[in-house]
Amino acid sequence: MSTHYAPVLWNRQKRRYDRIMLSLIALYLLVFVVLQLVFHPTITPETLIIRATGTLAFLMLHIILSIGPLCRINSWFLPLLYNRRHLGVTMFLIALVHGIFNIIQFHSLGNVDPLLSLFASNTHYASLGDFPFQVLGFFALVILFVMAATSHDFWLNNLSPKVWKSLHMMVYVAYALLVFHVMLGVIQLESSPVWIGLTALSLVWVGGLHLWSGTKEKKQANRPEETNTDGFFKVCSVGEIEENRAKVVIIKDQNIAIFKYEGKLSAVSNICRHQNGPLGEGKIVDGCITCPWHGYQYLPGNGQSPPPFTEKLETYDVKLVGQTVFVNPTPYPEGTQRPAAIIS
Amino acid sequence: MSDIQSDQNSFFIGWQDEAPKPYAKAVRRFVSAAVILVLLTAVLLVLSQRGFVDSVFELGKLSTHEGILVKAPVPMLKVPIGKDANGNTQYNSMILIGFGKFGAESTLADIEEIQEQNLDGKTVKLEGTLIHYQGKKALELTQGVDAFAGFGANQGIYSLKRTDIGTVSLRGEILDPKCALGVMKPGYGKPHRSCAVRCLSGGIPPILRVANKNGETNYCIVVGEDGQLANEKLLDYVADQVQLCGRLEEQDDWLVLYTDPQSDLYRLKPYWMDGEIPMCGDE
Repeated sequence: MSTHYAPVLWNRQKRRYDRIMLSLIALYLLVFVVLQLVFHPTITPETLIIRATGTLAFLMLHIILSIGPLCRINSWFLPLLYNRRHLGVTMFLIALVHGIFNIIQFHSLGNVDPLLSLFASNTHYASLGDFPFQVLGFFALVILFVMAATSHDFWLNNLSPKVWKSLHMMVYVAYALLVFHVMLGVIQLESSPVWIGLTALSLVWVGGLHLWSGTKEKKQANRPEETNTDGFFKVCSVGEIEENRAKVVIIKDQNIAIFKYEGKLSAVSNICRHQNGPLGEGKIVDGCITCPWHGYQYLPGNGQSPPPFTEKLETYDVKLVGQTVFVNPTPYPEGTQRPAAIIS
Repeated sequence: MSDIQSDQNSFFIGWQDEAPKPYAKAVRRFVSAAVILVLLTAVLLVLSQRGFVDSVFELGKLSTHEGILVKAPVPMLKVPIGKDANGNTQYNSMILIGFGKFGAESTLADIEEIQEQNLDGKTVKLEGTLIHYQGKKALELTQGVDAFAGFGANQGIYSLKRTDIGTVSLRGEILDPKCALGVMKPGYGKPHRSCAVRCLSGGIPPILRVANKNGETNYCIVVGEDGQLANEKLLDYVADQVQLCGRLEEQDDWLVLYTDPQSDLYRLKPYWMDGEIPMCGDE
């Protein structure tokens, strides 16, 4: 969390994250290049760069796309999510090197502009097998550029989390374009079962993880029925909520997290104002609801980030009847103080 | 998140200095798996590649070659390499190519304008970057008009050694000699299609790469029926497997296929879809 914008707000875990990421990138490039030079010494430097960066960026994209569902399946993976944007920007830069070298190699020094050549050299747009696969890579790179360029919190705040999140969901469009870029491009040359198999396996991996995590979330979604006419819905027994933790319910399209802390119950929106993180999977730390994704914090009674921060959540009325927790899904404006239900 | 709830002290916050032990342990395992993934991916991808031919593009190394400049059917420098048993001069032919993805015609025209004479059939010295593979050679006139390094010693009257092989049907891939003989690796196949299209659009003469079942390749220059450039008509077929019919000649050390792409060129479908392809002379 920060009250001002800086290019990167470094901390110890981010530095460690980046060191590991860069080490793995260096390891891949080193092994790939050395093996190429040993087993294929006649490879040209351009092809070596294009293949090393292309395969590395594609591998990194799979890791990036795996982190979200892995965190939903098991929260132990949350540290991987914390600095994922550095992984994304780095992946884009590596993909950019791949794209630039491709344009230099295949389209420059010709009789038309290289960018025009990209679209006009192969005109088999009506054919699947002969489709100009480089165009697919170009559009994927444009999407990755937009994502990398707007990855900073400055854009998150100015575009609004909803718009920003929608924009960054375009990564799945980029992924689909890149799968076809690979299948209609290098796979048509490198017909080894290994290349096809790895591509198919990676597609199954990403698709399978998303299906798994989506199914798990759907099963976990708690959608209680209205039990009387005062607008309150029965949620659970107070004993089902652990101290400093929350119970999440979805009622009338309201995603609500009911936190238990210091002998009280308070209800706020389950959606973090930073990146729509699941606050109900967070914890009360130092008296504040703390988002599991990036550590953004809110006071449970009024949904406000502690000063000097300015993020605010909708709040809800919660009541306790005996040992049963009830919540009213009608939201109060962001940052409205509501009385907590006292646990007797 | 029952695993978290079972350990109240365990909650990861990114901006804290240390991650709780269970998280750190999980991350260590993930990183170990990532190391294995990185190594395995690199090894599998490299070792399962098709590999690259030992063609050569002498990038950054200019060399001067003396021979007879011949402009048709495609610009070539015929470098004498000795005499055959009958005392006839034998030549090693270098296809001449302009800088970048251009043919050599405009560069040669500029040189002729400067020299104020037609150089066709003259013995000249040309400096450029050599491209070669399996005895086939091309010379990139890298420095434009400065490639002309003067006239050479008169080699006598050049006489093209032509052998008519007859009407043939050849199956292969249409490429540009610059990339196929060494500038690009691989200089064939779908990923290279755009580059070959650019090269042919720029006037580099097309060649047909023919491979036999053993993977051995040979190349022939493809020109129109009367020896004119056929580049534009071939563009749509570049990097596809095609069948070309025409009259094949051996000209010194190159094969030249005279063909009419509009009537004698067929795109081959994958073998399992392959229907009847007309052979040369079929109606």
